Amino acid sequence: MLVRPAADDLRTIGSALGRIFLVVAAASLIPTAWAIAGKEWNPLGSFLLMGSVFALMGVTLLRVSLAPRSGISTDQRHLEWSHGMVVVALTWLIVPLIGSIPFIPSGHYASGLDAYFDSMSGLTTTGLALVQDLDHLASSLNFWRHLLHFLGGQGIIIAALLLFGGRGMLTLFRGEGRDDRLLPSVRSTARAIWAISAIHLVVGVVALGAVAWIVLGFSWQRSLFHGLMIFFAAFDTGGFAPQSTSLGYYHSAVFESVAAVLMVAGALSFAFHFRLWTGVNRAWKPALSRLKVSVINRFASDGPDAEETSWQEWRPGARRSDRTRSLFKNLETRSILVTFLATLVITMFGLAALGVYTSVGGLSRQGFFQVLSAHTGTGFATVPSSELVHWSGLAFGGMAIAMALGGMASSTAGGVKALRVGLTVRAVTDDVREALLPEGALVDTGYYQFGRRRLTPEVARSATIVSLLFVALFLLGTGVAIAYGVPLEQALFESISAGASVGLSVGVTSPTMPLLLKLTYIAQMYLGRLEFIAVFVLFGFVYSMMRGK
Amino acid sequence: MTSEDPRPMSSRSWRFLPGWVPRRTPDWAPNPLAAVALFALEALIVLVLALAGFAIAALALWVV
Repeated sequence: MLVRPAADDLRTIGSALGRIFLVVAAASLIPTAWAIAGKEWNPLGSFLLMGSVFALMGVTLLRVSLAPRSGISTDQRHLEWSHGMVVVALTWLIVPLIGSIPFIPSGHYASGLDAYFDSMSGLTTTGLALVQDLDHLASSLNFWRHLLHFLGGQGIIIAALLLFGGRGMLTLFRGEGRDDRLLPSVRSTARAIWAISAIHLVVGVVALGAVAWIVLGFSWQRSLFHGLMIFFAAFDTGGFAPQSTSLGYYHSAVFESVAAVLMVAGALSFAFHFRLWTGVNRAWKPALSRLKVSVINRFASDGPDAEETSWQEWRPGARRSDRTRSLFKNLETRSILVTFLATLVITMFGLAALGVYTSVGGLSRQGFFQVLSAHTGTGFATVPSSELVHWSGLAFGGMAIAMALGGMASSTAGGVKALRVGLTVRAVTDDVREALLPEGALVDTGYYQFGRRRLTPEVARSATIVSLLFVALFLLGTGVAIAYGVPLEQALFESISAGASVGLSVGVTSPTMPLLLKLTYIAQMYLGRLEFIAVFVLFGFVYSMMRGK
Repeated sequence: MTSEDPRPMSSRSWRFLPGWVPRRTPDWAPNPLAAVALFALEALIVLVLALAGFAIAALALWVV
């Protein structure tokens, strides 16, 4: 029997949503300040309107939901699993909707739907765009597009957790497609994720800006602008670029190399970063001590969700270098290395067969960058879509597989994710080994992923189901595009790009494409980013509100 | 369950167990100076992959 959600359930959801909207309202002050600094008065009005709507919604939801009615305040109620999923699913629908307000009156979008498409693409870190005449877009609007990448990639929810905390935070954290808890409490994990991102922001923007200033000869203001925009898009594996020709605009192998480092950093999970960093801390400790710089590893009080953690790893005396070394034993690390090299081989041989590039330098530069962009889910291109469309046969296959597989779990990348690929392959090989061994023989189902784990049927089933859902998602977009007369290869390429949050395009995505195709790609970006479950729970929640008893 | 392994059934129930001593759990903040080393490490990963790409490209052009 379906149970109709009670008023208290709605108040709990409203309270969490209200807090998240307030966070986004605060974030919208940044492009507002940018517009004031750049004297861009038309976008300024739009940003003020957008910020006001977010703030008004946030305050209203909080006031309504926090009003004591049942003798227990909403803050004291536990945010249950279904609440968290509904909050996440609604957040990722509503934030792009209100976030598209500044785009609509800009004159760079054919319709409100196109603006919503770009806003959703930005937040889900996809990178497909329907903006017209991008090269003349106001810089504050361009900044907002890229800031959406940062908000989506780092996680609005994570920001809200950091600022507001509250009980039952784990459900929000997991609802956004994140599984890694780096530290015992979710709040300290959120803090660590933002700390990792902030440090990358500083180093990345300085590196990109320096290259733009020194190598490309940009002015320092322009270097800073391009450095910041490309950082947001690269580290959050987004794919928007300030110019219509994407990274091809810079014509610089050095700039592409720095962007490639950030793309790889973005496709690594935050758990990987965290353990890499703690290992680096250890290696540098003697030198840093001499410089009177203390390595910060302070200890704080328990968070409310401190029941699950790898305590042994943190016990006094645990060796950090072991953690770093073990990274390369991880099933996920090995899986992503194998799939990257395999897709690189397929694409390179395909391109060589097509005769697109005749020099080793040209083939390796273009082939490597495009495959890296596809596999990390970034979507930067150094070849125009009019040229990418001719990458047929093996080259198409390599690129399509790379896009579909994506980066690491709990990273900013999309796609099936390396861990699921590794687990699925491991489950299949275990079954084959079991069939080959004598009856009754025990098969070792262990694998290594930040420690020794056992591949249970539940884990294997979960990985397989999500992988199959991704395949279904890719086929859905392909089918709709084919129905409108798009050739199969192009339809499949564009559909995978949308569903796996990549953003590479062979030209199908354009302001003139059919309405249904736009809606399909929006749905694909949304479903692919949230990895289905939260969206399905939202459907179930709405259904139980209508039909429950 | 021993005092060495304070993992309980829930986060709150074990706080009221007799003899339980509040245990401080680790928090972490990155060292900004180590960030440069980390960035260099990530650059090294990309360099190794790019070299592999160069070798594959050379092989592909030679074979095809």
